[in-house]
Amino acid sequence: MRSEYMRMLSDCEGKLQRTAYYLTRSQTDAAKDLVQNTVVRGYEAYLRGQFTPGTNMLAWLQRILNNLFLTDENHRKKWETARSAEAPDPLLAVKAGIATEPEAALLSNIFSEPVEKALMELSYEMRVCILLVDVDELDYAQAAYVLGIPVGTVRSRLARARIRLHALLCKQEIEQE
Amino acid sequence: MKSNEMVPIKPCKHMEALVSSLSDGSLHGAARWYTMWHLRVCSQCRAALEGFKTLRSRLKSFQDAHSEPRIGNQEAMLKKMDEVDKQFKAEQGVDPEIKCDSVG
Ligand SMILES: [Zn+2]
Repeated sequence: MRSEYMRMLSDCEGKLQRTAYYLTRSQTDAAKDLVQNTVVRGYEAYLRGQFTPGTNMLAWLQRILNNLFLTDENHRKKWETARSAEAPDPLLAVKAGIATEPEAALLSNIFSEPVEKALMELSYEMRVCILLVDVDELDYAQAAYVLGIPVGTVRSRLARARIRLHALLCKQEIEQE
Repeated sequence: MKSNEMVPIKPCKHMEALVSSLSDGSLHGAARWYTMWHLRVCSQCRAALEGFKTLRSRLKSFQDAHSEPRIGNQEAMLKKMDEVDKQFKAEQGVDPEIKCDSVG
């Protein structure tokens, strides 16, 4: 069972790691833990026969990863709200891999590659659509399955994400001149 | 000197999702036909289609350059999987094959 799972996983692992990195906006423990937990959770589900052979393993694992990420995010946000009286140092959050959306602009300075930099500035909803469809090349139905939203929502969200990403790249280009 | 290469994508508001979907080949049937018809009469959306295509190819080259795994902490993960095996065996009374030959 495990060797079979690991064999299928080997085709997806790099992509999971990339997604974790861009979702957490971090190369630190947050991204590592996310992938590790996804692989272990996936294995548990796999043993229980929850993966349908012949379906897309990457989409299945991306769904697990995305759900784990959102659960962590919700916990983190609750925790942050609880201590919102203290003004957090955004750079510390960046280093710890727990940067929030408003910190994205600051964070983008850490990434030098233009597309990477622009991606990091997108909101989670937009970023994840680009990652799944344009980077991982899942189709709209698979992305909808990963995110648990209708295909039509993926279509419209992706369009807005592309327009926004392109605008950010244009802005970068102007700033460089 | 100003570059004219990158102009923001601005399709007609009601055509955003359709033109975007056309650019990646995921638009079919009547919606595709309707969008093609609109493009014939709307230069703004034609320009947007080109913009979407350029962005997509840029993301493609980005993807090629970033496809290498960056994180490798397999040992701890395999230990956790051993735990899953143990738990599965305890619950189901079945021993999942624990031999692992895919990770070096
Ligand atoms: Zn138009």
